[in-house]
Amino acid sequence: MKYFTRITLFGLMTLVFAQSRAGDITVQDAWIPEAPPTAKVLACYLSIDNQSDAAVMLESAASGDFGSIEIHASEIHDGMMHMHKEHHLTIDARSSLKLQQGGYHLMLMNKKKTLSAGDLIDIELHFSNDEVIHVKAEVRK
Amino acid sequence: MITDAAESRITPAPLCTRRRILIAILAIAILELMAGIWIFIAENPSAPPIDLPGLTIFSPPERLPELDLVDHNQQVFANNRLRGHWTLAALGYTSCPDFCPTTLSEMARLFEQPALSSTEAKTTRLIFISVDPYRDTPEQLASYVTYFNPGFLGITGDAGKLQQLNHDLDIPYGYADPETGDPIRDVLHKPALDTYVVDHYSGLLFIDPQGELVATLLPPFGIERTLQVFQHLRNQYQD
Repeated sequence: MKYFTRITLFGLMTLVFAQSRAGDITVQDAWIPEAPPTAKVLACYLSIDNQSDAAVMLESAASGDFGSIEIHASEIHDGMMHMHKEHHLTIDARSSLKLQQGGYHLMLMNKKKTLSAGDLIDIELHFSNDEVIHVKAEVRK
Repeated sequence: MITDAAESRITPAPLCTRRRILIAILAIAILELMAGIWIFIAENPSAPPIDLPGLTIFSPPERLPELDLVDHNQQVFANNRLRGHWTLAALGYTSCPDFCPTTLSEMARLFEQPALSSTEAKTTRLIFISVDPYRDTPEQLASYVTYFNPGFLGITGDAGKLQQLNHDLDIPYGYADPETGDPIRDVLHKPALDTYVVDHYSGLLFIDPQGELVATLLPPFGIERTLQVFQHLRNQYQD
């Protein structure tokens, strides 16, 4: 019984944390920080690895749980925090790009439900080589 | 000078006595010097001085301008609300997906640190000053800020008063078009765009129990780094 539980748990974890793979582009560790219920916008962070011999661009993202998603960048200049929209992000050949706190992020807007820690949110990422990668972003406290 | 005075008083004494007195005076002087050093060290427990990138310490502390803001319970927030306890203050806005919630959750973790569990630390207050009064009503601020820690306090105010505060303290903010990044100069009226972003001073302000600004720290804050700065400032602080 104990083993059965463990195997089931392991199976579930594998499903949850599995890399989303399509061709040579992999997306890992997609997560959304849990935010106050009244937060109007949320962020999603993830890492994109491009093992192909050509650069690819992340062009857009979408989710059934949000009205729209934009790609944004935060940066600090002379002690000032600035944020602006990016129309795409380029991931060079055989390299990876990390969307992380204080840098690039997906800005999730017009949420259709309240997200709590543990929820898995389906997000699709559209790349310039016509690949669409589906990820499950985990909401974390 | 001491030697001269001593010599004038003991002129008639034999040479060996004069030498003994001189040695005694020198010994007393050395002892006094050591005592002085000891007292200096004892009164400055935080020596060696702290030197971290992004940290500015104001000595003497800077007086804050006259505050006339409103807290998330719709109560007047004036300078008297900063007295009698330490205050950490951050600027931001609640329609911010990345930097502001990251800072607030970092501050929430900071306030859970065992090193901050003394009585003094329990009275330390974090205030989140929204510089987006058009979208951040006190109600919106209340639910947003207390989500991170029930003790956190959201502050905002009249656009003119916020602008004055930021001008007086040199902690600037402004609005911008997220599409182009172009700044919108006028902060005294709500931007005409459907969505606008707020560019704002990113540092943390440390305000002492007299209600005066003692230091600013630029990000990345980090729990340990912020704690180190805060403990240094508390050690330095004398009523």
